[in-house]
Amino acid sequence: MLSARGVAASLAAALAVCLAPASDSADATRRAVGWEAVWSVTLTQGSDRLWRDPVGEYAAEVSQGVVALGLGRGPVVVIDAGTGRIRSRMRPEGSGNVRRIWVTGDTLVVQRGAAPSGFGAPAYLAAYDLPTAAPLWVTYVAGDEEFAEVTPRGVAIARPSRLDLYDLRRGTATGGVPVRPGCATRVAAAGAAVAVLSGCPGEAPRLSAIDPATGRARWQRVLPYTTPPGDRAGKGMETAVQGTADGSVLVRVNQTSLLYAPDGRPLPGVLSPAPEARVVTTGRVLAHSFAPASPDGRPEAAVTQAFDPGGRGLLRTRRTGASGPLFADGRTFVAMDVMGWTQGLTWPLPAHLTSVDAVTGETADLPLPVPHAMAELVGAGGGLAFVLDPVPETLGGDGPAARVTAYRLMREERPRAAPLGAVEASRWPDACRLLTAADLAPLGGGHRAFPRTPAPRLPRPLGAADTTGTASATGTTGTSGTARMPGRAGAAAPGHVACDWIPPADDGTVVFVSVEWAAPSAREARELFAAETARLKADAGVRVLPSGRPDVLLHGLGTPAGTQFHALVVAGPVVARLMTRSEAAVRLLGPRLRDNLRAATAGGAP
Amino acid sequence: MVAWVAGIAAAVIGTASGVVFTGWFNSLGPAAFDGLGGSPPVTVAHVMLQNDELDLALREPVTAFQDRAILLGRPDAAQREAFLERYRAAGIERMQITVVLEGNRAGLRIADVRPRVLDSAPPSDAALLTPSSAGEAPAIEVVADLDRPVPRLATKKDPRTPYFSARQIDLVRGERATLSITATTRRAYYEFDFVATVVSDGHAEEVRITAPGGRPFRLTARSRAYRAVYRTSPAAGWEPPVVCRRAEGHAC
Repeated sequence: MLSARGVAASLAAALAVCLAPASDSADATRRAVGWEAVWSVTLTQGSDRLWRDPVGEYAAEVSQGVVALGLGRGPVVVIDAGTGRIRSRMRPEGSGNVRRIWVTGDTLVVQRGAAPSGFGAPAYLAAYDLPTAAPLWVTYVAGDEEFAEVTPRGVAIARPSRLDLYDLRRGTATGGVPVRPGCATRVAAAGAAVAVLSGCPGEAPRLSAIDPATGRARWQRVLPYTTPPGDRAGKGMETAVQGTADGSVLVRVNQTSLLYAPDGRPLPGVLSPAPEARVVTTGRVLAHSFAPASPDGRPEAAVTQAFDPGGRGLLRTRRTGASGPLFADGRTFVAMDVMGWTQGLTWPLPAHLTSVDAVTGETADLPLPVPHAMAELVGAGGGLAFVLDPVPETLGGDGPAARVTAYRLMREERPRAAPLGAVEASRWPDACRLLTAADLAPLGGGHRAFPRTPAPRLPRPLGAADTTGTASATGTTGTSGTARMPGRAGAAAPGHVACDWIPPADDGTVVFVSVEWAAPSAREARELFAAETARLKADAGVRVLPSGRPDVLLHGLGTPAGTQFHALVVAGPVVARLMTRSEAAVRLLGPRLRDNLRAATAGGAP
Repeated sequence: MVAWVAGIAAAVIGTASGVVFTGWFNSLGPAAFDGLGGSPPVTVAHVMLQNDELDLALREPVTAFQDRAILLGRPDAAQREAFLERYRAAGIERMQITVVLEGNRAGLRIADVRPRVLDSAPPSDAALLTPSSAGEAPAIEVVADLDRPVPRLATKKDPRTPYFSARQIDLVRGERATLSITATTRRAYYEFDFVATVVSDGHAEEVRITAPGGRPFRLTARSRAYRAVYRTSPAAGWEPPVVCRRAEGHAC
């Protein structure tokens, strides 16, 4: 789960702009201050192990006032989006993991089976009547070689030589459109139409919008993209297509985005060489979001661009944070954010949801009470964001239960949001003061502390580019206490949230420390620590080492270069992490970190 | 971690995808699309360097504490980039450069793209950064052998024939073309760029293609020995190989 999450986060794009709402003026206005859980529903599984990892084996759709969620081989559960009440369960017509769900009008269509998750199982589409859960029809698709799309006007399946069209309610064939053999065909629902992208070797790709009810093309374009000899022409272009609810289309050719309006007009061509991009429309604004591969694979330069619908001019471009699917709800875009990375793991520890007002650009980036590595944003609608996570207490057992929680953005009148959306910056301890020279002496001594920035959108710590002194018996000289530096929007940000201790010789032991989260209360910090501990213990890639202490979790994590050793500790309202390449060092320093953190947080939040 | 190598290579290397993006970010925004009067006939839309998980060589030993803290620790991207620039980090023997050109005229022809050596020196031997999991060398499509007296682009199949002697690339406004170039050396350290000759409206213009920030591309031959060797640490950053730890006081 750990690695899968890491890969997903590094490839995904998102919305997130600043640490504080964009309109962070001195005026006291109603600002977004947090996500409040409105309802939560738990989905358990029987002895037949329908899924192993809920956030790794799900498909979901939020539409028509329902959250439709499928987990592994289990049924599609239809949940009332406003109340959390389970309306119905649509049983699978055969085996195979759920792969996609569409909800349009009174019809729900689910695609199941095919590799990799359902290896060996036949792949098929099954349609159900949404109000009654009655099965309507089933049709088969050839695994990963054929692509299906569902729109209000019909169903399209791209097969090797034909785009087959079916009636949505009856499943009967209504026609087809020939497809040139040997060409890569990709389809995506775009409003009521199906966008069909056809890439033939040596030719420019062609994009058309097909009405699935008639098979007729509403418009067609040849894309302005050539691949001269000497590059990928011989191997074929990498192409992909996405559609939006209003019929806009995003085409991806060799990691470059091309955008088209619902009538086929090309939109201003923004260069976005990025492994992944997403597009969504809401409030008549189109958001194009992408995350280029950054120097070290971290999502440092995710970008969100909003286009005005009328002239399709660019409204704003923002350098943002990070990750996962992008959803639209009314005039709001919602995505999960990743602030940054430290020690190969996302930072900070809790998941953050970013909400952006499509009209005003106001942005709120606020935490959820669950670790980022466990939570998945599955959709948004009706003013709620729906988050899926495993129930921590059930991890490591016969089959973890899954939980869907609906969150609503809370607003209060206040002049300024707290940095990172939780507590004042002064409540974050200085990571460079969480180990002393005496602590490090058994490693040979002479270590020097260097503050680090795990999140690119946080300001670089004072002195981070320079040496900050030598560890002394009383702490690390040269580093101030928690520095309060101006964030982008003028809000104070925590000071040294991460620190590297560098030994005097290259072959000494380097020690890394980061403050993972400063919660409003010790209880919330303990719950976060417990959830993360449960997740790590259930992760097959993690080797847990006995520590004998409930507030210190020691563990090893395999990497291509060898094993890295972590100590995750909690004291008061703060969770911190230490990491080193030496097992002996982590056993020695983990408890010391906990003791120093206790001292640093004593007298703080209860 | 492993990814760090990539970061070093030219301040722009991907890990998950194996691609690094450089120089494109500043082109975001409406100005990037305006047909500007007086603009060059083609725009270098972006440049990617695909050196991730390949060896890198530095020209000077890393001894200053601040620089060791960058090498061994978790610097941010800007610190890494500045470090690589200070130590003139270069790929070893081979690097893949992908250039996307976009037409700025109603019609134009790219008649030639040629490498231009700006500086050369003996191979870098101060420090070798070698990832723990070796990457695959990029597939060769068009080759620029920098050791030739007059470097030029050629195909792998026929290295003696200049690539642009038989072919040109025609573009219209807004159309993009991608070139994948593999630069190679077995003899020396080079700093270089590319010069494209673009013909439109009967005029020929030269367009310079550089690494991000207007910096030169850097490539070095492999040295027989290095004064220091670092491998990816399982924790973060770089560390001397274990064999060096055991043979303390001896050269690796």
